[in-house]
Amino acid sequence: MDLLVTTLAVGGSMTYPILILGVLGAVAALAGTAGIIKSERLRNYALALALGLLALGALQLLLAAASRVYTAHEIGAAIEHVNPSDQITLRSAGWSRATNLMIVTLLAAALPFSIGTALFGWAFTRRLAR
Amino acid sequence: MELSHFRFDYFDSYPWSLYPLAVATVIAAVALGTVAVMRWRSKDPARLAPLACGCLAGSGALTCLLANLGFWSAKYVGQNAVAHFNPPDAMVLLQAVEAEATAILQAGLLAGAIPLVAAVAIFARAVNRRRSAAVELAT
Repeated sequence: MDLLVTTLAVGGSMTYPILILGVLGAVAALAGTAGIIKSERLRNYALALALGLLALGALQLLLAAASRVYTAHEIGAAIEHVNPSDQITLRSAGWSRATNLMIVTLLAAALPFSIGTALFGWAFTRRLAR
Repeated sequence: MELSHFRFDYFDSYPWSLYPLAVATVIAAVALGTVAVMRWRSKDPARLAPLACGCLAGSGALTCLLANLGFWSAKYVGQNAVAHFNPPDAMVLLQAVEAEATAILQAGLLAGAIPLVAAVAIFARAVNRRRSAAVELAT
């Protein structure tokens, strides 16, 4: 919980799209899997759902990577005129904050990404077996 | 503070950076074991192929994600830990943390690669079976 609060406070502008995509992905993954287990008709759309979930997870990771590149630039600019002996400490503290968002993104992407991969393997092999 | 002491203290104080790796390894092992037992006990293993492939692919992907989580967590706690050291020491210690974090990532990716490779093998077998059935039908 602390991690999420710190990320919301210092994560920067990319935090919100990543968290919104994470919630969307989790809901789609759970609702989609439940629908596929219960309804025979929905099983025909399993491959599309799997690809959608994988795309959602990939988009989150891409946003986190973009945010990290941007943060590197920001940290560099912020400590440019600081005493060189303090730069390592400040850069380390900056990276530690920036890593928060990556950890939250990996947690948020875990559900859509792993369920998406599982559904993809299941649906594709099922299509071949028919 | 000596480097060896730091490394010992680091994982002693922050064992949670190793938890994702432990969870990842358990998930991969359970998925592999379950699929192996299911296929061994089943009278028609081919019917289980979609479920086995999905189960192994999903657990492999989750394991790889958890390995990455372990890597970034280790970096995070390491960077926090060195923030109060003298800059020259911090540089050396940060490199030690990077090496430990990379070891966590490598171990986790290896644990994730095994179920993923098994899933690809089941998928390839399903493709092969379908091709043989098509050839049989044609002849």
